Parts: sequence; C-alpha cells; structure tokens
Amino acid sequence: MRVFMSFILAVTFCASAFAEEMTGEQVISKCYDLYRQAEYETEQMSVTISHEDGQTDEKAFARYLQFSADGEDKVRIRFSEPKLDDGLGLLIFRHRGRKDEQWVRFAREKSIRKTTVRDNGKDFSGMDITYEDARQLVGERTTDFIYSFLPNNEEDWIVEAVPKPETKTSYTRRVFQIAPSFACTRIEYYGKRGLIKTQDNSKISVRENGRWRTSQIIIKNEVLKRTTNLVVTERNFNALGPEIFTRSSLTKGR
Amino acid sequence: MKKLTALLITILITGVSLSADTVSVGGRLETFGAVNFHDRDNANDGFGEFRAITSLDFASTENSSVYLEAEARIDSEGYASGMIDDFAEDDERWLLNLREAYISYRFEQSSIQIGKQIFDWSVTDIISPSDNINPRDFTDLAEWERIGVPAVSVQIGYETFLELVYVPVFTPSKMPQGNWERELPVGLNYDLDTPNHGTGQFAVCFGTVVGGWDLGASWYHGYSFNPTVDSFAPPDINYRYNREDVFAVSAVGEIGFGLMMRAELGYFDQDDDDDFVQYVVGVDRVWSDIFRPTDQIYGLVQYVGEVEINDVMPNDFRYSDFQRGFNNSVITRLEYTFNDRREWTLACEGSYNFSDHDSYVQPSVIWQHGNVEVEAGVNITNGPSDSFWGGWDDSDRVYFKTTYHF
Repeated sequence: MRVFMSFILAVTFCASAFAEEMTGEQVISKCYDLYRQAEYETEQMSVTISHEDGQTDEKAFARYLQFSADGEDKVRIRFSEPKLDDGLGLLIFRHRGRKDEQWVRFAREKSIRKTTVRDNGKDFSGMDITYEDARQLVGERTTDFIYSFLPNNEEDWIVEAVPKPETKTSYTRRVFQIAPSFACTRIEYYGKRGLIKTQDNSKISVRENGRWRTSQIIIKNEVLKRTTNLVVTERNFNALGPEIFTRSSLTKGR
Repeated sequence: MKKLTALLITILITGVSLSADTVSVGGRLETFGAVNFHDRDNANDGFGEFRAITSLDFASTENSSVYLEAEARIDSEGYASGMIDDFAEDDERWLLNLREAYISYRFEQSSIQIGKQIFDWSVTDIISPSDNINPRDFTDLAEWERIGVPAVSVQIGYETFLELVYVPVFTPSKMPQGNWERELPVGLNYDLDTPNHGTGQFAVCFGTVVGGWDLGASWYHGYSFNPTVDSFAPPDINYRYNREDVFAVSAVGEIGFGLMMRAELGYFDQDDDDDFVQYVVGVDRVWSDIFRPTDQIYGLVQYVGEVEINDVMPNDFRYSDFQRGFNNSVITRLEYTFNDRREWTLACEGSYNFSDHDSYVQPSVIWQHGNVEVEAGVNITNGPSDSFWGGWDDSDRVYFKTTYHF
C-alpha cells in the first residue's frame, strides 16, 4: 500500500511539475493518449435516468470500442434493456479529415440504416449521451478545438475547449477537469444558452501504465432537468475481434 | 433426401445449442384487431389475432451460434392452420412455425449460415429492386412481412464483402386474404400455380463503403416473390411464379443539409413476362428540438419509377403486381415524437401513384412505456378499380395493436 501511495504521489508530483510546461491541448492529448492504451474494449453498462417528475427509466447496453493509432476508431453500442429496445444498436466509424459515419439498427428489425452525423446534439435512446458524445468520448479530436487553461483552485487542471470555426459540434464550449493522473474527472458542456449538462466521472481507476477508466458516470442535464447514472458493471480489454465492428454484425444485432 | 437434410440440420442446431456458452431469450406477445369500414361479401368486418414470438440465441465462444425464432399465432378468420411440417413454408400460415432457425459459424474473414433465414438487402423502403430472396406474407397486406427460406449463405470479408446465398427449394408468397383479397369481376375464376419445391435459387451481393457512401451490387437468379398472370381465357385467369434474373445496384450516403439519399436500380429479366428497369430514389432527414426540447420529426420521400425494356404482358395485368404496382409513385413517411423518451409518436405513411391516381394513407398514433407498445391507426386506400390500391378500395379499416416485449 505504501509503495502504491508513493507511486501515486510521485506521478502526481511529476505531472504537476510537467504541467507547468504543458499547454491545455497537451494535457487533453495526454489524457486521451493514456485512456486509449488498448486495442479493443468491452463495457457492460447499466443506466438509470431520473426525471424531474420522479419517474425513472432503466436501460442496459454494451459498448464495444476499437482504438486505432491512426484515429480511425470504431464504436459499437448494443442495447439489451428495456426489452422494447433489445437489439437497438449503433455503429460508428470515426475518420480523420472527413466526416464520421454511423449506422443504426432499430430493435426487432433485420436491417440497418445509415444515418446522418449532422444531428450531433441529439440524445441517443433517451440518455444524456448524444451521438457526438458517443464519438468524442472515445478520444478527443484535439485538432478540431482550441484549448486554454482556466483558473483553478485545486490540483486539477481546468481546460476549456472551444471549437474551431470549421468544426461542426453542438457545443459552444466544453470545460474539462483533469486530475494529476491525467484522468478526466468532469466535463461541462455549454451551448448558446449556457450550461447544458455536466458529466462527473467517479470510481476512477488508474493502471501503472497510466490507463485510466471510470466505473460510474453521472450526467446532470440542466436543460431537461434529468440525471443519467451510468454504471460499468463489467469491463474487458482486448477480448474482441474486428468482426463485431462491421455492418453485417450490426445487422444481426449481436 | 429432404427429410435427411432436415434431420442433419436439426442435429447440427441441437448440438451447437447444447454446447453454447450463453443463451439469450427474447420475444413478444402481440394482439391485433381491425374493423373494416365497408361490408364485403367474402369477409367478416372484424379481425382479431394473437401472436407469440420467442427468439433463442445460443452463442458459443468457438465462433458458432444458433438462432431460433418460433411463432405461435391464432386468428378469428382461421388464416393460420396446421403446424410446421416442412422446413420450407407453403402458401398458408401455420399456427406453430419456426420463422428462422439457423446455425452460424464464423471464421477469421468469413462466415457461413445454414438453415431457415431472412435476408434484407434493401436500402430503400417498401419497394426495393435488391430485395428478392424472401417471399412475402401478404395475408394482411398492410402488415406484410418477409418469409424465411431454407438457405446456405456465405459471407466473405467484412467491410468490403461478398455474400453468396443458395436457396435449394421454392417457397411461395402468401396471398392477401379476407378483406385484403382482391374482388374479381363476377364469373371470373382465379387460380395460382405453385411449383412444388421447384428448382434452386441463387443470389450474390457485393457491398463496400467508399467515401462515406454505402455501395452495393447484387444478382438474383430464381423465382419472383410476386406471381404474375400466366394465361387469361375468360372465365379463367391463371397466375404463376416466373423465374427471373435481377441485377441491382444500390447507394446510400449523405448529400448535405442533413439529408440522407437512398437509391436502388434493378434490371428485371423475367421469363415469360416483361423485362424492365426499376429505380427507387429518395431522401430522408431528422429534425430535432422543433416545438419542444428533444422532440423530433422524421421525414422520408422516395420515388419509384421504371423503364420497360421488353413488353410481353398487357399493362392491364400490372395493377395486381406487388413489385410494379408502385410505378410512377411517391412513397412518404412522416413521424413526430414528442420527446426522446419516445412515449408518444404520431406517424403517417402513404403513397400516391401519379399515373393511376391511386393512393394509400396510414395515419397512426403509437404509445410505448416500459416493455409495452400500443398502436392505433387507420388504413385508407383509394383509386380506380383497375389500379393497385384501387383494387382494395373497400378495405379501409381502423386497427389496434398491442405488443408486450420480453
């Protein structure tokens, strides 16, 4: 335990010292470089959405990720709960230098539909994760944003990301809170009318190689007055193959 | 030989099922009721049906899996009778049926599926020149479905792929019944010749993604799912299933302003029938946050047209053709959801034929909560009696459907 604490302190000290030399973009890049130290990842998620009127919706889905060194990442999401949504799926191909692509499989259908990526701000399946978030949370496209530090009172870095004029996004700016371990602990999403939602990452674990993961994400939507609580119930690394990120696999719904 | 093949497939499916590591069970219970607005001599005004569908998905880490989808249905008109007695279905519904039952095996860059399957190569809606493998259940025309066929399919490649399908026996479509049965002129006798298992059918599809566009090309060699007139010598009109070759191409991509374009074009080379090129092209789009936060409108417009290459059959017979009845038609769908919880949806779909001036409109309201979905709507058909929809001019009805998912 003592060795581990020493290691964490050392990492924290080094990171803080190094941070004085780093730009906001470098901090965000480092954050996601450490995050992306895997080839494949599977997450089983359970979701509780609490609405202002006291009603709650329960959902469950699996998220599959394929990280690529050249940024051509792939994301696959498959819902299993509620049963009405069983089989609902999303497949995303991220591209460098051109538009991303996405396909949706509606529950109970034997075919898929290619859909536009224009509606970035639209929530997927009633959760407070938009199609844009589903793509961006895999790895920040730092070339699309201008980053700068905001004042902070804690050890964490506060980095503001403002989209470049040519970047298509539904947010006017986002504010990241990055821990000394380079784990992202909080993101605030702003639109033209102010704060849209906050995302708090908790139960964060950091491996020796710096790869960090959160096991609980709480998103508070200030506009829709609801909270989405995502809990990672299971996580595996590199136990997948490329075939799950294909249109035919999405069509089969498995 | 047929029974031996069925036995081997059953043993294979059972073997993989028993060795499966995970089993997923799902399904739905459905009730459907409809009341017609017009009296018809050969059908009751009301119709009711109960249906239970259960799916079992046995997956193994050894890259093999088995998918079974069983169905039990009973209705007030007796459209479903008997039970499964063959891997290939006949021209009537069964009370107990296996809609799909196949075993899959995945290799590194390919996969194979053997058993009763449903294929959907369409990228357009309702009318699709690429979608020819499965016959249709037109018993209730407004609620039509694809029928599974016994087949062997092999897919090579994933992103860019080649899919080959062999269907050894013929499966007929199920023709409209009751209030959807076409009323023939008095004294005319209708007959449909169905080949007994027939000869095999083959299809191949190539798909790839280029520059943000999903591109496809396919060739189908087999029976048309749509029976056409074989001979007309009053008072007898005889229909049969002709064989055809269909060469089709498809494309889907974003064309700007949030619009998705979907297009298909197919050349139909039919035995003893017209040869023609059919094309479908259209756009669809989603608008969000229009009247209230997270509400959404989905709009779709597609145009169906054709160019006749070889005219063999009189045009008068085309009005009963499920593949060509929409020639020079526009197909639309408009859907409004009140919020992203999708509890309430208002929808309206329809088509209008510019040549024959016949139309179909189906406004509906859908409510869903938890695992329950309720839909109520109206089917309205209109047009001259010698047009596609006009042939069902007195089939207007109100319907009510409830579905419980488990």
